Amino acid sequence: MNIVLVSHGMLCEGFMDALRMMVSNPTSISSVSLDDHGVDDFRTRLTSEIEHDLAKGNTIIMSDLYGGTPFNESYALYLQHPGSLRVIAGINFPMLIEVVVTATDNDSLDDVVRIALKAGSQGVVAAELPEETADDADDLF
Amino acid sequence: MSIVLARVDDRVIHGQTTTRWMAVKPADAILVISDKVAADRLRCKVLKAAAGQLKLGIYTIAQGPDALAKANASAKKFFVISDSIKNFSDLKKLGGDFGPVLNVGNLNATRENTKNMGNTVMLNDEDCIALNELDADGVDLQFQLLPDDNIRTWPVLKAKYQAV
Repeated sequence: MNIVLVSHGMLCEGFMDALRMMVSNPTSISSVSLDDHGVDDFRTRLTSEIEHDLAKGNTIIMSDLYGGTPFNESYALYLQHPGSLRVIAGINFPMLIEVVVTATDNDSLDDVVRIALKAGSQGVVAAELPEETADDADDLF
Repeated sequence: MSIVLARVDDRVIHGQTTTRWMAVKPADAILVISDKVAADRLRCKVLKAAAGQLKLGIYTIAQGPDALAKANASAKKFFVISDSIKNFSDLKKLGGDFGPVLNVGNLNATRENTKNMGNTVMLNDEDCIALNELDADGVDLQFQLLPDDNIRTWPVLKAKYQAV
């Protein structure tokens, strides 16, 4: 499955950079950023990337923000290719890692979307102070 | 086999461990064996948080062989992690059994006189001595940062070290 990251500015490039610390050779993943060349330019670049990817197979677009321009342009493409394209908004790092690992051998768009949403929300946690319990070495083994 | 991964990683427990390695080699608990780590109370707390839902035991080298014996006798599955190659060599000398394979991941904390072997592995003479000892003992040394990397072997890296 092909993965395309889209975002305002360099956020998607940042995700690509961070991803390489977690996955050595991520295949079939690219990013298209909305820069100050504007919407029309972004649309042209995104459409070109998606058409290239759809020719290869199922594709999932992961965007930064629901209702933002990168998402909206992605959504327009989804309407045109509902059988082979999916769009997610609210990308975060735990979600991205899970999608990349899953997409290497799962070609089901619905599976990958479900996994993405679960990993994305489960990854959002607050740090908690450790409990001052006795050493749990007893049940370690 | 109760110990599913024995790994050298100077970052000990971090993203690669908990997301990538745990996914390919599921385990119930992590055993960290290192004098340096065991002595650092704050670091122990951070590692416990990093381990999340997994149980964590932190031991000195002296305590190591006994912990390993308990792990081997247990029905549960364990990661065994230490922050230096020498620690694993010392454990073996004390009779500790961490299994037939040693994975070498991150080794890039600042140390004296290291040579960069690529892919976040930096080795110095002390590491080479320990690697030779483990190799002579029949341990299968696998240099592999992430599960999707190719495994590099000690003979290849040894030649590289000597060539630099």
